[in-house]
Amino acid sequence: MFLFSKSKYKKFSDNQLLDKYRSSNKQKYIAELFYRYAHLIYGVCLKFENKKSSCKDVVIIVFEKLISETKSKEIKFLKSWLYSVTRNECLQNNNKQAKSNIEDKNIVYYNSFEDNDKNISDDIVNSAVKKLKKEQRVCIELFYLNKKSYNQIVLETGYDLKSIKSYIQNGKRNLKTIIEKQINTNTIN
Amino acid sequence: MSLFKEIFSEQDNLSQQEIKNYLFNNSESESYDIEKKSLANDLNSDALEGFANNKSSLLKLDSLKKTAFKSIFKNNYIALTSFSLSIIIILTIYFYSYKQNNTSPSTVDLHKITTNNKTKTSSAANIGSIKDNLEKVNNSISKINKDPKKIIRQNNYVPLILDKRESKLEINNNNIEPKQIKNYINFGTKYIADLKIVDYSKTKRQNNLNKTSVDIWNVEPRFSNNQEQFANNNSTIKSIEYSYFEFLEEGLNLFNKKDYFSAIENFEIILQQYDNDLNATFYSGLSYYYIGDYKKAIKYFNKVISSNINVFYEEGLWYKALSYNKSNPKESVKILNQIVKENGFYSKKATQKLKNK
Repeated sequence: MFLFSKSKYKKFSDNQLLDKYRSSNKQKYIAELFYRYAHLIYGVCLKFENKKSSCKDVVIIVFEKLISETKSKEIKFLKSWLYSVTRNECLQNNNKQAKSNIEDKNIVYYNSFEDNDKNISDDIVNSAVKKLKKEQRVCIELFYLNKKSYNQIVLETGYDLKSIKSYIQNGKRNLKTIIEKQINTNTIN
Repeated sequence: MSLFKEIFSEQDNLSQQEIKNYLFNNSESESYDIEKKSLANDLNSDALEGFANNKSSLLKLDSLKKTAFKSIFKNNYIALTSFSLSIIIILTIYFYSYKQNNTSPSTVDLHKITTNNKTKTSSAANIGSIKDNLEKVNNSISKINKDPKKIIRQNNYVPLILDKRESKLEINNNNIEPKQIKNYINFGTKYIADLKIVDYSKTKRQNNLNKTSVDIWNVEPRFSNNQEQFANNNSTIKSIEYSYFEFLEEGLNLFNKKDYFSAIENFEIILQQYDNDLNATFYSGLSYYYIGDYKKAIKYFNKVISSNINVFYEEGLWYKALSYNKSNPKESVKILNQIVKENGFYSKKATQKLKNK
């Protein structure tokens, strides 16, 4: 069963698999999702969980939740759902007395623009990049325009690896808001 | 590709192999692609970070995934395994019982003779087989005829189970008195508490016992005293199930400790449920013998001797002779002579006894 899941359902998207599971109630569709995501969830656990031994349990809990909740709720963005559930589970385990306030909301990706907005010209993006803070701008330019890996950026700029990651991530987030603002002002004008 | 798509396009999930490659064999071009993927969503980026901090856990990942998979989808596994297990069990039981039926001693051949004779559907092949079988029977009977008693007394002798019809057949052919042929069933022996017993575990008999006991000491609050409780409530009488061999062992241990009365109590409970049980009859007979109640002892030994299981045949005869020793010396001499004739385990002792008289 574990081996079959590798090839058979590769063409289906996550949402299709969830729909099929909801209609047929066959666990093989969830098994395919397990094959796709188990290692990522385990990795996220390794980041957040203090006790490394309980990471396996968290993976099991997350998938059991997925099995029970897909029947009642519709999960639109599986990736973000899985991410938020695993993170909450880990944080709760770490700090059981003070329950974390994070709720299971469907987080919308910062890169998920609506389909209409996908043809945005390079000028808008370039101008938006220039509005970023210096470190974020440098890192984003080196990474996306010059296509350099983290190690190469470290050698060129002298920033340490962790901060480069966060510069790029935060830069992306800010870039998105800036571009959205620009589009809104353009449509209003 | 436009710059916007370059930055904000959706990316695939990081595969396990990609994470391994990124952390262990670092090539610049590949690592750029993986870093780009990891920036596309939180799941990828945090997973990569988690593994980067705990590289060793990446090596355990496969086994962890397998165990997690099993526990999440356990229902399927339980159903599958239980189904296959039950099939295996059924097959083994069927095979075992089939084998047992086939190996039961020489009754099949004899049965063929009688049915074939009766129905007289005599094709040439049938007649041939009947003749063969008849020869076999005659041979075996002539063997018995030479020294009948010796064969009968062997413990591991595979016996002939003879129908009444067969015994008539023999009379016609060989003029043997049917009384002399005893139908013994071959039984294994076993030792519990250093005492020989008949091994009933290989038979189809159920090996469980119910012992009823009255619970006197615990009075329920709705009754004023235990008499009232006993009168009104059947639940005070408890029936407990024991395994046969455990219960027998308890009795035999009591017997070894020379606590013959309580040993007899245990054997009685066995005899209530299996009245032909040879272990219980022989050892309760022996207990009565040691107590000095020879009349009862002789009753039990008679049962042992006449039983179609020959495990305790010699012992039964020997102790029967001993218990007749005082009350009926003539009878005891008769039995002792019989023992000497049969030339078994007790024959030397018997000859000495006879000399002393």
